[in-house]
Amino acid sequence: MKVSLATEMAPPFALVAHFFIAGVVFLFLSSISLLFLSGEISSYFVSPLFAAFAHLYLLGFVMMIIFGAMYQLLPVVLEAPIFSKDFAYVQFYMYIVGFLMMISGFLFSSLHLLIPYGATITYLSMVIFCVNIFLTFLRLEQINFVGKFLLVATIFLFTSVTIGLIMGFVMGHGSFEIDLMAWVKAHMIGTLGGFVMMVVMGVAMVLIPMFSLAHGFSDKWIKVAFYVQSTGVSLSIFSFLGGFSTLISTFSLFLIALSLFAFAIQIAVMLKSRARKQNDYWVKNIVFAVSSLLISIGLILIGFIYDLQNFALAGGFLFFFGFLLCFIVGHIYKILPFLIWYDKFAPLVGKQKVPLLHQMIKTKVADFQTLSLFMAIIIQVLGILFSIQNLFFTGALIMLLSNVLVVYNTWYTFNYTIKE
Amino acid sequence: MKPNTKPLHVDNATVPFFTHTQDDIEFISFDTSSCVPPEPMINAMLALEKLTSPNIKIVMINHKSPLGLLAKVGHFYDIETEELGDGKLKLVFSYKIGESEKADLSKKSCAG
Repeated sequence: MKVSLATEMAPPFALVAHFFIAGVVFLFLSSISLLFLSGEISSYFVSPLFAAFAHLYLLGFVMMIIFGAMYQLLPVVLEAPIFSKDFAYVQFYMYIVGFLMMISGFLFSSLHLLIPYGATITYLSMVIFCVNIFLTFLRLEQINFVGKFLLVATIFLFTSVTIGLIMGFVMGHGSFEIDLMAWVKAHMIGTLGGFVMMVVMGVAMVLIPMFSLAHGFSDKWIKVAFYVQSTGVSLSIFSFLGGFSTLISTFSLFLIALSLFAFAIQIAVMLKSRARKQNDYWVKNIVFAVSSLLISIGLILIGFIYDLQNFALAGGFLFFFGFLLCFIVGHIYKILPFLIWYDKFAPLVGKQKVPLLHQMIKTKVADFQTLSLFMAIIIQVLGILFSIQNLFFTGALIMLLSNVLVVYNTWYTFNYTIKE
Repeated sequence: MKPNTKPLHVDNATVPFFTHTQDDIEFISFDTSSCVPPEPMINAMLALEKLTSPNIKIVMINHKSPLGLLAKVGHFYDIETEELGDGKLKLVFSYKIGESEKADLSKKSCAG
């Protein structure tokens, strides 16, 4: 893929900025809520506080940034504008209202009745997103490889949030019986493996070559990842919903693990062929993220095979923070200056001195933030593995500090002005 | 580097520019092969502003074909490309009478 991030097809930056600003704010809030979870690192019970944290982080930060990135990148990848920018704004505000209602319901027992209403509004906002994306694809004559990733990801999102909504109704009204745990698994695999991972894989094939100046590399591993991941996630959803044998569901999870390995190899192939050899905070974040992904698969496998709850939990934590957080934050440092530069400074080229992208980030702060995040994640994983609450709390505190620095750098980039 | 090559100051450029003359043609060259977007585009647009006659040529070394730049201004110039051994690409922009003067270089945003 030879594309950039900014073209005339891309939506106004203000739209994407909505999602990025909200995402960073919710990252900060979720970091605060993480401080109160130390007591639950060796618990089997999913508390309302944990549910609030998980939704704040996943819906508030991870999904929010992904939605923003999709709105920016999809028109560039497809060389066609998004079907409706108005749909995107409506989706944003409905999403904020809906998921904040859900979180309020988790946090305050007197507000628990808000959960199903919040979930319905969140669901409808995601349906608007999916319809907007589907209608964008409908106008195309052909779809390139990255486009296929994003299309399949959106189909998985639609499927898994629908599963989530049905679960909510069953829990609320008991209309019919389902195996709730199996449905929760299908919902999580569809969202994380189907939507989040497929978007990350597709987007990585655009952003990593672009920012590392990698070219002329083989893309066979990402092709393997595409087919194996979509097969694995589909089979997994069907096997959990249909109550298939454990052998089939285990095989489907094995396929997903295999696909993640292929993705990791593809990243390594791209980084190896890069012309730009600087190991800045972006490269460090990618390397740490991919290493975390591989280690998390190993920990989860050990956890399931030997029935070790703490290993599975540590693996899950490493996936959410070591992989997703590092991968996303590393890219925020590249994408935000890039988009703001095109919005604010591109028209000034030739008329006055314009900043370079790295000048729009406090690089020393980003370096310190990156290292402190790595340290926080390692400490928290050890805290979970050895069930040491104080260790986990210390790591959560460092992570809060690190995420405050992300907020600071985001603010700095948005407010960057040319010095006279 | 050619023997008569001299540095050329270009306001707001982010990489060094050079100039040399050969057979009465002035060659203005720059290398953005280790730059990420938007630097190749910034420097290319600044260089193309200097391409004001058939006696001038702009030589750009980049890590790949600058697709966004070519889509935007490519048809206003004659462009020769040459793949260099180390994976880089050399583009030579020449003045096209009747076309180059129509190029709008004031709007600098394009897909790097």
